[in-house]
Amino acid sequence: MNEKFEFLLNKLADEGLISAEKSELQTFLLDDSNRAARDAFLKVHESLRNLQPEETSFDFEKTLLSRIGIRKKPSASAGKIVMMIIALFLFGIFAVTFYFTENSGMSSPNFSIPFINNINFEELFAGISYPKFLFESSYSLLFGGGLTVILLIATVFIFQGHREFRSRIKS
Amino acid sequence: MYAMKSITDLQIIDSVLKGNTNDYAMLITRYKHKGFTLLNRLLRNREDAEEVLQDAFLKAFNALPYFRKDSKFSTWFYRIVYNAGISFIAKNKKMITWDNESIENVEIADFESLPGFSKPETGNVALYKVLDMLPVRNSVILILFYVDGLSVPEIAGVTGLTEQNVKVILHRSRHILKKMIMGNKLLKEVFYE
Repeated sequence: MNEKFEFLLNKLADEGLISAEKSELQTFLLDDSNRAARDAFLKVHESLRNLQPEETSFDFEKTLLSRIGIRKKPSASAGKIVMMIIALFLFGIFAVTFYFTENSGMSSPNFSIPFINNINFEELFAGISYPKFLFESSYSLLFGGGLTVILLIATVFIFQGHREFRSRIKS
Repeated sequence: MYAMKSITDLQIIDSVLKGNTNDYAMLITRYKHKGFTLLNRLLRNREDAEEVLQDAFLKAFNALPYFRKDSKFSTWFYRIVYNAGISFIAKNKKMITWDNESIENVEIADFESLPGFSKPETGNVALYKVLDMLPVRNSVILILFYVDGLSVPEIAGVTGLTEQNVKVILHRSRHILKKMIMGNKLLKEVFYE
């Protein structure tokens, strides 16, 4: 095949033909001696254009979606578990502090929480020995304050760890 | 309810970014076969191609918030797929020849006795077999152009080659394909009769 003719046909296929080349190609196409070459080229071009993509396996999409799902689920459930542990821990500390404060004879505010009042702390903590001096003086405030600081630091570390875990998964 | 084809890629991406992550399945359905065809030419192994394609879809999903909407999603996605394939080859030290492989070696082959053409095939199957006889780079660029529908500048953007290089590879690949088909009786029957 004439090299120039093939070059122009290729440019036509690439959609890169400029107007001057179009008229040159037209001249080649009108020449009957180029018909076989043109047909052979166009057949390859058309066959490639009609080429259908190969298909993935049947369960490809299902596997992929479950991978995306698996990646997302643990972070959500892990977050819930962490929140539940923190909530339970906070409630436990609150309940213990409330009980010991009541028993130490410290002045308490003039309001009552029915849910807390209904809990029988005497029964709940029966048999548990503890250093009573901690709750009989200003030590109780020191103890409560220290515990709160430890709790806050622990919470910050838990959240920080959770955030790092999530960003690690994302990356 | 909208037909899936009437929804553009950008609309799907917006929806996914708003929290409807299930809509990402539409993009998977839309691009899985084309992405697979590209990787199958690059890696020449179906299992590897599927594994790498899964990773590429996951990467694209995680990177979706960073997708710049001034370009086409398809070009961006094929770049991820292509790079994932190249990384896989490098990581697994796969012996897939790329730059050193010359199309001239294909030209001297005896087309009348091409392996794998002992029985009649459909045009699609036969053409993939012929494509797999071309050097990897040539078959990958043909797939990007004809199957994935990328333009020459887009292919250059995906592969990192110059536009001129892409054009030369396309021209030479068409030329050798024509010679292969014309030179093999069975292929000639499949494609020309």
